[in-house]
Amino acid sequence: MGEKKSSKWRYSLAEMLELPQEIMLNLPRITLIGNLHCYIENHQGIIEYTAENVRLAINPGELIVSGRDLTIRYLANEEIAIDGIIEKLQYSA
Amino acid sequence: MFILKLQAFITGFLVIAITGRNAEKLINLALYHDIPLWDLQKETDKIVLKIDLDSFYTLRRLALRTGCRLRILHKGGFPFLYHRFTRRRGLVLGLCFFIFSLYFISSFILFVSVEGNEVLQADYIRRLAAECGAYPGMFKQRLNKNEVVNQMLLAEPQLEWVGLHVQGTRLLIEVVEDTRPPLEVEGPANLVAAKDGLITEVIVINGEARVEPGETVRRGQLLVEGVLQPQYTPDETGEPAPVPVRARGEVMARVWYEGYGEAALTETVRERTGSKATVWTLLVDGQSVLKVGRTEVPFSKYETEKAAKSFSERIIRFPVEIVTETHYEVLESKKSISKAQALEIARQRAKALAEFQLPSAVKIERRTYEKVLDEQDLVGVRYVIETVENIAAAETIDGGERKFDS
Repeated sequence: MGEKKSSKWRYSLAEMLELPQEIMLNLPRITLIGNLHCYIENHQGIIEYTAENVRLAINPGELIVSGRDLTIRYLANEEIAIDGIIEKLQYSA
Repeated sequence: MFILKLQAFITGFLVIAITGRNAEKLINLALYHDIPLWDLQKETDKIVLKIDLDSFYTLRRLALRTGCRLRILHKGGFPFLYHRFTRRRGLVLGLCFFIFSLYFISSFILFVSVEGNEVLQADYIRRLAAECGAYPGMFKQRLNKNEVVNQMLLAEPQLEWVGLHVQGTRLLIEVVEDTRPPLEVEGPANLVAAKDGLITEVIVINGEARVEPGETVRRGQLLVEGVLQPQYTPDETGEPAPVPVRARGEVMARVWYEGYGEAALTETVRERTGSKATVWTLLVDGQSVLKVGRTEVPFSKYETEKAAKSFSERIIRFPVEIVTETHYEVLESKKSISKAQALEIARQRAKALAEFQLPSAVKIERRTYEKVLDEQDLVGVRYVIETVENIAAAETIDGGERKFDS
């Protein structure tokens, strides 16, 4: 309950001050370039990595990047760049 | 990204394979410890990735904790390259030798090429350049371009201009030849007057004089006819026809050059007051982008100086230019001068005009000037320079193009 209230308050603060919401709400920022590159900032770790699926932990739940021949070009704390043929992005709780 | 890879190359990196069921866990742990990883690739039972050398030891410790196995597949980067090179001294030495010799050889002029020659042979110009101190095989530093150019111009009068450019190991000699036709007229010719004048002396070497000293001639008038009267021989019958020849000789004449100059007694003098307004314009690709300064000139009378300053074009041409316009306020004032001063000014002006027409290297016999205009506010002076010079010029008999002997 407290968590929800705080997030609502943060949301309205971000709205009011026009701050980037991914920072205020601790959400991932995803940049897709066609179906070739996918940059995800503010992730919280890899859950599973295969050539077909990259499952990432994000703030609420999990993000699944599916495709073919997926490679991780760069991996650092909070930042990941996935190359390959991306077919699907999926959020799941 | 690129910086990271460059840094990894300098400090060294490893390509490792992680096997084990908790490979993702190990990767997450690595992230947690701020170990950057890149080029991760999943293969059937392992993850291949790159990691920098220093972080590898941390990762190995973490791997023990998660129960993953690490295997080094490849070692890359400068430290390993250096290690390899230290074991192959010959290769490194050879590389150094190669670079040094390339540098050394390229500091010589190896080829000489000639451009722009039409009449003169390229080989001849090369030989000439070699004599003047620009030859293949010379050290580039020792090439004194100005001296070589001057010597070449002196040695070969047919060269009008010579330019030397060094392009790498190639010396490019650009020449411009004197392509003016020779002044001499071929074949039979008359001598005609090149200028108006009063004949003082006629010296005929070949041909028949048609004028006498004391005559005035106009430009284009026949002076010496290029004919030779054949001696009458009693054997021949009929009228002997004159034989056309090339007339030669000198016809000296008095020639006058005059100039006329005026000067007003009151002259308007423009003087800068010292105050100025400057406008800077930034041009990008010829279009003005930014103007700094007063756009309206705050003076009633002003002069404008314009200076364009572009950035150095030594390496690449920047399309950016700064144009500075400076407006100087001027004050116009009327200045009256005495008649004698005005006369002197007019005389100077007339003299300049007369001397402007004067050909070089003629003997000046007399200079005279007279006042031809004397009004209340204006004086005019005519300045006359009298010379004695050869006015004969050859003209082909068949009315061909006239070329003057000088």
